[in-house]
Amino acid sequence: MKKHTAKLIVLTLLFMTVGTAAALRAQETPQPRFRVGVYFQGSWLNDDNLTDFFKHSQRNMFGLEGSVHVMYNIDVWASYRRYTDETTTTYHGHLDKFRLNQTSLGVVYRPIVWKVLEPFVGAGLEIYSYSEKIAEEDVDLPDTSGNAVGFHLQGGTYINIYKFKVADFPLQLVGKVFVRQNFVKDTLANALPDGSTELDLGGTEFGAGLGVKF
Amino acid sequence: MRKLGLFILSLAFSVAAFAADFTYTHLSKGLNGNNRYPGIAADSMGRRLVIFRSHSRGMFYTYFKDGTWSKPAPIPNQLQTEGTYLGSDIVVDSEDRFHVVWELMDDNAYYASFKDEVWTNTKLIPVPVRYEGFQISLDIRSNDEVVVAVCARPLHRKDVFLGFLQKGDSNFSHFINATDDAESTSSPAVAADENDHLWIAYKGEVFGLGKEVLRTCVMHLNRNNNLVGFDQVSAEQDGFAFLQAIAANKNTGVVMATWWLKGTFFSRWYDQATEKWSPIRSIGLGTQRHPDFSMWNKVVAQGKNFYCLAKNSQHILHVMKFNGETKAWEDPIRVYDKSVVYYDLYPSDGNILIAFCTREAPTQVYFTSMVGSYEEPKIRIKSAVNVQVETELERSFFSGTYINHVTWENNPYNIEREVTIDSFNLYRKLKTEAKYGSTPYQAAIPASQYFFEDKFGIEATPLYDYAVTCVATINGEQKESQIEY
Repeated sequence: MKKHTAKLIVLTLLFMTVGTAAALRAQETPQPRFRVGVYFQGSWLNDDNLTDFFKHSQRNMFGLEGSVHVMYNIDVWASYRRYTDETTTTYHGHLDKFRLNQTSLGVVYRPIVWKVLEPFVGAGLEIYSYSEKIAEEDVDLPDTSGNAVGFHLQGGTYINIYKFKVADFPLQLVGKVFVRQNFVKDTLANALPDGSTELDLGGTEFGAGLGVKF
Repeated sequence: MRKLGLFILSLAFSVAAFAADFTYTHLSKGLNGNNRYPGIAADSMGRRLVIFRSHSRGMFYTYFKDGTWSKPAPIPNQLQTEGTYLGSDIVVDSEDRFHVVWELMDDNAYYASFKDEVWTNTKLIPVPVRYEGFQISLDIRSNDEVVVAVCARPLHRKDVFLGFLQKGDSNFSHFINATDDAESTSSPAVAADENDHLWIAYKGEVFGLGKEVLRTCVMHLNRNNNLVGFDQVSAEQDGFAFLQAIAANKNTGVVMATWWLKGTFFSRWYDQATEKWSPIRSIGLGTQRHPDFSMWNKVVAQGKNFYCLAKNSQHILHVMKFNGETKAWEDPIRVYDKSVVYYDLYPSDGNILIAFCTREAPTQVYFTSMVGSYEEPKIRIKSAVNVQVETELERSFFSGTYINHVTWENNPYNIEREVTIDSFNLYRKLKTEAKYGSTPYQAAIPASQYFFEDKFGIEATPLYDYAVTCVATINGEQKESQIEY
């Protein structure tokens, strides 16, 4: 499964960066170099063990993102958001906090740049760090932390809303809707209490954002 | 004149020694016909049980609680009510259950137990050979094992058999022929000492002396019922020794054997500290050998002393105290002014309880008591009950550990007796192990805490058993209850 995913990503990247490069060159018009923004999204993790334990199949969160236009309607794009959940331990009922720091780094290609809409597709790396802490002292269970790396594919559209200036500096308010599919797995050195050693931190994210480009 | 004064003074002391104020409770009041052959015992709460043979409805009982004797009633579910009743005995276990035996002469002996005013079904004591009545005796070991001593007739001769009733069993089993010899042995009495050794006194026939000789014999068995010692304690006496009795003093380690011989009651005591028998001593009372062969005596231990109950030739009941300090029998104390037939006594909370039946028909059963010897309060502690183990998983998402959540309750026995628990000790053993170790797994758990979380070595599959003992300070000394299996 992992190999197929990698192939898919590589092929997609090749398609974006090579196969369409020539055609895109002609379409490109001068455009702002930077985008920054915030977004709000729903996140669904693949790992049923984890979502069952914390009793939430979906969490909502804010994220930050930024991108730099490099060429041919292609941006280098980065994002950060934090997935958090909490529950209580099964016997003592201590507060149990789970945190997943999700950093994305990839490219976004906007094949068509209309006046209002700029549809995009993207792919890249997912770099995660996770931790679980029991918010009590003298507990029987250790804190746990780890890292995992994977990939993502995403698509959506930017929405050019409004142009304005701040101190003669031209800005454009931009909206965004997107869907992102992450492929991130980790093999645990110590099995979970149910015996499982696989941690699937991949999943689906769906959201909308607001930012500026300049 | 001076001698006369001294004589009068000594007479006054002598009279004082005989004096005792007895009050009597008519236990068989309202029952028609002859009521006789009583047995008596009391539990640690001072509740008393008296049994006796009714005129025609088998064994009756009456129960004393909260200052009142119950109306006499038949022991329920008796297997046989017709026959000649005689001996009976009662002991009380650590849970205040009365264990009762009674015999139908030359026929059978029966067992039932009584607790909280409820009787168990009567059982025929399964003596492996033909029963031979006239005296039946009980005592109880510290683990609540009840021992019965009976006479039975394997072949032509009589032997003394011991039967054992383990805690929780409904009847005696594992009978052993304790004497198993060529001579006849009968009228056994049994006593358990502070080490759970058994002392059995009985009448033993002796051959080869050119005439029939019946001696008082005492057999000493260890807690495994193996023979430790044997003595013909009346060997230096000629004639017939009848109706042996025995008591073990758990405070002093002295064992007292009594018997009737040639018109007098005799005694001999064995000091386990010196491992020596005393000389034979009269207990200060005698009776001629009546046609009804009623030379019974009963002996019990209390404090450092012994008390023996017997009647004289006029069938007047007396109690004799053996002073453990002076090692001498004191003057007999008259218990009742009229003649009696049969009687029993029981030491209870510093008093000597006595039940007897009158001789003149219709014979009636009475209760009386006298101040006995000081006894250390028998404050027992019992281990916690309802010890439950729940294996729980304490888990976060990534980690988990099993915890045995052990809970218990204080023993109702302790609560009822207002025993203040200082702390609990918790013991743990593998399920594959037979016994708990001597060191608590967790000591000094506060008395207010009725749970413990065992976190070490716990797995989802239950591996361990737990026992919880109670620790209390009694007379300035910390005592710990025993683990009950």
